[in-house]
Amino acid sequence: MRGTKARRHEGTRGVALVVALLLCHLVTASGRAAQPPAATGPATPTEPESDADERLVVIRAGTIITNAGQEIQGGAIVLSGGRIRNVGHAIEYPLNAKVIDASNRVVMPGLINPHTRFGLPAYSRTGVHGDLSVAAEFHPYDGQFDELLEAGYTAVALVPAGTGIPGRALVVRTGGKAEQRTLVDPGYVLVADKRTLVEGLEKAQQEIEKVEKARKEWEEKQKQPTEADRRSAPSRGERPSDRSSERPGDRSSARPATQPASQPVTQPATQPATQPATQPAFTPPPIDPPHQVLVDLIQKKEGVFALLEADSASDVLHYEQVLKRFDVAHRLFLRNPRQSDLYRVIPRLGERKAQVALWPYVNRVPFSAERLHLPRDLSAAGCEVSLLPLRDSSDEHLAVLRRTAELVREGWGREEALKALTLHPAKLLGLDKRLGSIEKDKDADLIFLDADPFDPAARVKEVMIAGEIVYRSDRLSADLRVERER
Amino acid sequence: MMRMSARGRRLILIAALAAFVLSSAAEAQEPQKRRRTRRPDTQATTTQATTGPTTTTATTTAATTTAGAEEKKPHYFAVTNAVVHTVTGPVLEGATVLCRDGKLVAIGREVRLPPECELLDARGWHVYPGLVAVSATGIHGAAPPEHTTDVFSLSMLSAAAGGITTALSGNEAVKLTPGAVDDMIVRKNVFFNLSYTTNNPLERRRLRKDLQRMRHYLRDLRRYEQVKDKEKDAKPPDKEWIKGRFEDYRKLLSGETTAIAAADRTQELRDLADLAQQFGFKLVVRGAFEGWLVADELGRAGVSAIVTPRTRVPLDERYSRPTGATIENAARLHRSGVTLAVVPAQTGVSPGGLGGRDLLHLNMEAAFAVRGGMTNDEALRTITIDAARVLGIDDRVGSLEVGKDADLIVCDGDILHYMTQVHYTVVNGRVAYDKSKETLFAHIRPEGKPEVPVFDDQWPRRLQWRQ
Repeated sequence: MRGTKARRHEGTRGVALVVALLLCHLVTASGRAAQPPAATGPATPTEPESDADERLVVIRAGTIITNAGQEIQGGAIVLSGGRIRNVGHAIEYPLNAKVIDASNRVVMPGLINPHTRFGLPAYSRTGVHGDLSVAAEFHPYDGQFDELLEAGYTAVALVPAGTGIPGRALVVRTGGKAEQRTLVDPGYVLVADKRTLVEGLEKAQQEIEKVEKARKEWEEKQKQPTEADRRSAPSRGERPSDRSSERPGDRSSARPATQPASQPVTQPATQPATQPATQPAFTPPPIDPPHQVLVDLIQKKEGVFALLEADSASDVLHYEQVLKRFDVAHRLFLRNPRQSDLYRVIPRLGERKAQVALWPYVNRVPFSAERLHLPRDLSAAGCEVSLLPLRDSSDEHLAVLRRTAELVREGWGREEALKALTLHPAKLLGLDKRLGSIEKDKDADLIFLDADPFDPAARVKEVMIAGEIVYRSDRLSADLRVERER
Repeated sequence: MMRMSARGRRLILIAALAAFVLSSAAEAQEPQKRRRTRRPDTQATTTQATTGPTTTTATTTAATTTAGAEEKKPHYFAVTNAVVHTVTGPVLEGATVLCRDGKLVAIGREVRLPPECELLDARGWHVYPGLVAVSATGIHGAAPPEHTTDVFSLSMLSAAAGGITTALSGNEAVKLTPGAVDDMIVRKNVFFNLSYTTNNPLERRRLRKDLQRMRHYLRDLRRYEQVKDKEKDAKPPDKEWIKGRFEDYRKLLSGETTAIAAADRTQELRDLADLAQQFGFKLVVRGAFEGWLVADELGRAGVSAIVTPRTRVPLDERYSRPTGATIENAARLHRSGVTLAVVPAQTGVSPGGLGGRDLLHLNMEAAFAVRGGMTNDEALRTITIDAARVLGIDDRVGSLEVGKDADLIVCDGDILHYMTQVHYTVVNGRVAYDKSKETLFAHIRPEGKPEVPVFDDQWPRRLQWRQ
């Protein structure tokens, strides 16, 4: 199919160069599919034209580090609408595409920091605050993340500060259009200590039981009048299935006290007309808002997970003890200072393929000179390792590539190390469908370096977010030549 | 001689009897080298061999294990061929201690081992119950310790290397579980902190008044309980006021808690003993270096004491009566019937600090009680069963008895001997410290043979090398 399409265009254009509109076609095809069939009707020749107006952007790169298979030398990346449409060696693209000549650049996915408080004020919170998100304290302004862009970071997870469960993270891009900045809000639940987690989960369990008890009482109450009244028997028969489908509703209705009024109103409306007004919908008792997210965790709500901060091997064991009781979706942030005893739990973490975030350090066994390569050993054991800067300072963000190069020098696989900065943090944040590698249909959040990323002399020259260059290291003389091919 | 309670004797008798009945010829072969092994399923007992073709047996066992949940399979651990010091019973030579899921299930000379059992051959070595430290700092985390303890910390490992398996951290009796976070808490809220100093006479007066009031309440309550069935109009005493400190006093006077008070001097000790006797509550005094002067009064009042035999306080010459500390303090208190627990001067583990007086040397501190006139067995009790009794946890730890927790230590000699090294510390039926595996003391006498002669008379009662 690819060939035939290409040939057809070749014929119409009459150009000797093989110009395939493969991607353009794919775009139009998908666009057509997305639209309701009644609206489009038969395909018209004008449609490709109108789509072609949104011009493709082609990056001709010296080296492409895709993080999904082999690195590509002298390849091209085709973008449209801020997304990657194709990547490869010999890619055909239309003549009117905007071409960015990055033949002297190494292009790789933007770096992602899964845990930072860059630019946020210091404060401390204790206790359970599952209803608070960093979004409330985040006030974006221009140039806020320029230092991170210089370091090659295109996305960061801003975390709440404090002990206990201080709140939920916010994942943002470091640049680009304001409406495209927020990636996840609210993000993961930050858990800073075990005791609060245990007590919070126990409280959440009580809340769940409270709701279930209220539901049972309500059901009992519903049964009694219907038994007296034979006519409503069929509607009673429908009840159980309706109730089981209502289970997610139980969660949503438990949202902060602003919501519950709308829930009972909408619920009967969706039900068949046989539901008389005498049967009011079940209104669950409100759940304590700070514990709502813990209830979601216990009930395994899609997309809700916790990031557990651990300082030592002992903390990991403590968290495991909790996870044995409450099987909640989670990732781990293992703080590995110079001397770390985390090596003691490597087999355990590897066994359950834990997703862990670490500092880019070569550690030492405490009270000894024995060197430890925790990132390497953890990924060899089967963990998905993400790396993040040692501190929230811009200097440490700038040093990450150098530190990671050190880890590679000490025997870590280069590919794993690159993934630990891009793909694995994206997975950790639940964004691997959009970020982390250069693949079809992923967001075009890319960085352009003038040398191999692990070369100490390498600099991030340009940063692209959602298909737009948002940062140039040399702002006065545009280094990348953007030309239009005839 | 061995001090043996009737209960302990009975238990040991039962254990030995059970072991004799169960005994089989299937004893593990003598290993050339001391080692920890896992006993394989096939060579364990004769039962499997006699039930028919091995293949059938194998399949049936496999089926049963898959049918029943695998975590239900009990974990057996046994220390074999050891000199077992049960503390509350006799010393058994060449005996085996068998644990199942963290509890002791058999102690005796001929214990039949289950098919799958983790073995620790301790031929010629000594097995003691894990030591109990009645005050400790820095081993466990801040309250609640079960959530905050760093189980890989150096101080916890060091204390385990010193033979300690249970410690009072904060106000909780907590086990030392290096490398594990489960089953740490033995007892919470062990003591009620009693303040009864001579410095604050008003507070003393108030305390006596409050205790008096509470005693009247408890008396009225008892009376009501007796007559409520007979008399219709009997009313329970008003209990609205019992909250805050009064709730603490209620627990204290009704025997639910034990009071602890720091007291060293004669006067303080006497006052406290009077108070405890008058109101009939359980009291533990901490310090008590002048206890030897009021030992009889303390004994009569049923007071327990936490002492440090090596405390040195000179005679105060301003008084015309004896004052200060003596090495004989522990022995004299013990003879007066005071339940004693011994702790070192420092409650933390500090290798760089006061040499030989930190928690690592708990056994040495007890040895100094021997120097003061106690027998070895009595001194051993002050760091095991009596210490557990002071904490109110002697139903679980402190001695080797069937049904108690499997907390024990394996040493290469008498625990009170200064050359003795702890080679294994077992907590909850799991080897928590293995000398050969940890870097702390692995280099010191790996074979465990003391290089000095063992004196006929137990060191340190007579210091022969001084001449």
